Amino acid sequence: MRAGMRDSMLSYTLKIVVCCILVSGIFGIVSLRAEIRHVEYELGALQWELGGVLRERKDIMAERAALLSIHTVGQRAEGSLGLEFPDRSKVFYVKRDVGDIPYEASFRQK
Amino acid sequence: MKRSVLLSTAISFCFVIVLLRLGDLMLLDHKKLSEKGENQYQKLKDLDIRRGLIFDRRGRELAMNLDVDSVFCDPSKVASPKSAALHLSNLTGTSYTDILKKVSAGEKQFVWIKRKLDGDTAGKLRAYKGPDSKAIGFVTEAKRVYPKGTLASHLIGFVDLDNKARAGVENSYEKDLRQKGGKILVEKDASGKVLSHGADTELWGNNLVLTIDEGLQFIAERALDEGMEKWKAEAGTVVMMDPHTGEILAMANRPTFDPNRPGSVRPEAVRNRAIMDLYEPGSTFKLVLAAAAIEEKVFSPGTRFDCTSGSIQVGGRSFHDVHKNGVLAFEEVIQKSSNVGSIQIGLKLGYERLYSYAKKFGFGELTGIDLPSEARGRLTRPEKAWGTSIAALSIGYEVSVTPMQVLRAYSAAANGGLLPAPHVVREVRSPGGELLKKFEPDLIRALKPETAARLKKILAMVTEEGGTATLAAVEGNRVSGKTGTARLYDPRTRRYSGEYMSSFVGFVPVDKPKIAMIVVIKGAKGAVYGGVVAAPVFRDIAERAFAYMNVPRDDMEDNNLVYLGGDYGVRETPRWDRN
Repeated sequence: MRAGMRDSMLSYTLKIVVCCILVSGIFGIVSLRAEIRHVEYELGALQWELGGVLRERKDIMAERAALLSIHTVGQRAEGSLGLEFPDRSKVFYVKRDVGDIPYEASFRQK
Repeated sequence: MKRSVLLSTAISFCFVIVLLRLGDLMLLDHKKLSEKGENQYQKLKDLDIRRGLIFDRRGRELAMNLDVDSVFCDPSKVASPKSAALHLSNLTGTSYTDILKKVSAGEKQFVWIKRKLDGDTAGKLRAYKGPDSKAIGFVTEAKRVYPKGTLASHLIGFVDLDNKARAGVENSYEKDLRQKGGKILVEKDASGKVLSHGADTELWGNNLVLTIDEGLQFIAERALDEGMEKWKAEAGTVVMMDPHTGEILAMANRPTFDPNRPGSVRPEAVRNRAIMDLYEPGSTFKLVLAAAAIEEKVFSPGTRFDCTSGSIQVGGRSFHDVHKNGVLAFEEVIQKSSNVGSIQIGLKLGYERLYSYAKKFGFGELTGIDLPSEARGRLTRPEKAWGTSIAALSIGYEVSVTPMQVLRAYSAAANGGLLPAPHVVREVRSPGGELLKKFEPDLIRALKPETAARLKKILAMVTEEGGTATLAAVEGNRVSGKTGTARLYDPRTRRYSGEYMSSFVGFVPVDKPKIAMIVVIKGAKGAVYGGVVAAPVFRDIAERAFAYMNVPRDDMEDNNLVYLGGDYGVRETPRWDRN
């Protein structure tokens, strides 16, 4: 009789545990799916933000390329900075047999 | 007992019904219902096509893409078309009548108002909250931009409003630059908001690395502008090439255009004269004559040519020298560009042999340059030649060429006799920067090396005292080249007009040429000779280019000079990827 009661209690407990596992499993799956959806929304928002940033980056890169164009640099250099295009006829004259160091270098030939 | 059985049976029956319904939904109607569900939360989105980038040989961007707004309207939601049209016209600067026509098309749900707006206009439109503002929407589109403006515009080309190529490498490399479209599956929620799909929605084309150098291109264009301004010329062309590889270092044409404004481009400005304009080359064709005479050994060393009369009769027609010359050696005939001497050489050669050498130099054939609309040129076949043809061809008439063909021929003399295949693209790279294709030099033997060596020396005399192109001389480096002054033939009147093509083609330094270059100026006023009009442009470009490229002088050893500075080349590793 005691064995019978014990069996009956075990069976009852088992049923409750199984039900709990099933129910928590179902809730767990639903919760995970909701979490995934939430992450997808967040990623979507971040992707939208990324799109905006990349668009801005393209604008900046294009502006940089235009500012660095040799035409623009040349105009600024020759205009307000008063620079001249390199004259390759100006070279250092250095004697072949230099003798003792230090060397002297000059734009003008002695 | 009976009640409990009944209750159990009823409950079991309900469960069975539920199970049967589940089975029906999940097994029998599964496909239909699943498709219906997908349609509600999934949609196909077009991938955004982005053209590949174009770089110069040192990694500087020549063509890029921006994302810009285009504004559309849903006419079916417009309550007051006239008011909407007025506001939109004021904000976009577009014609009121055009917009009114579009917004009044009530049956349509999408009409473009204006595409690819600038930032200010887009900002104003987005801020507009007036009547019918809910009928306006925005679409992001790619806009092709050329940050260097008009620089190398003929070579790069341009695209239309739909980013389809219209000229230049944009056209000839369309398949590399623009991938075919595709679609991507995205998920959306009940409100239509797109959820993250994790995939890139942009489809990028491959990038191109050109052979040109922005610095050399700028130098060439600036000098050409100065020459055109000085001589009030109608048009001009400069092409600079590496004679050993066929890589085009600069290609400039005038008139020019701004590829950022494709709507305002004039047809004559878009014309790439370097490869499309045909002209009679005049004395620059004497390279072919000289090469043929040397290789065919039609005269013995020391032969002199009597040019004292200043004219020669062939086939009942008289040909003249510009200046009277005396008795000239073969080299002097070329140096002084004597037509009389040249025709005497041509008569000894004969038309067939001269024609065959012209073909060897690539005249009458496409150069194969990777740009669209190249002209083949014309060379009269021997069987169609007539009495004066040999005289005409000897001095560069009765043959039509492009500047590119002439430059290519002179490059053969510069590099030891090999005809290079000119090209403007060096590499094709993937959007991530990976090398996909690299173009190697393609050379064909046109002359013997000893012939080329002799031609170099003869052509160097042209820029020295006594020659016709002393104004092409570059300080510190010897130049080999030839002037050309040819009258322009008017096909409408079928006569030669009063206009001239003034040209100079050459290479420098003579011993180890770094660049070969041609300058052609059309319709110069005040002077017409190639040695006066085109040669100084050549010199200016060469001097500035050598300063830029850090090319040492030829007389370093003689003057005890020491070469300071690094080699011309890439100073930092260029980035070829789109990021």
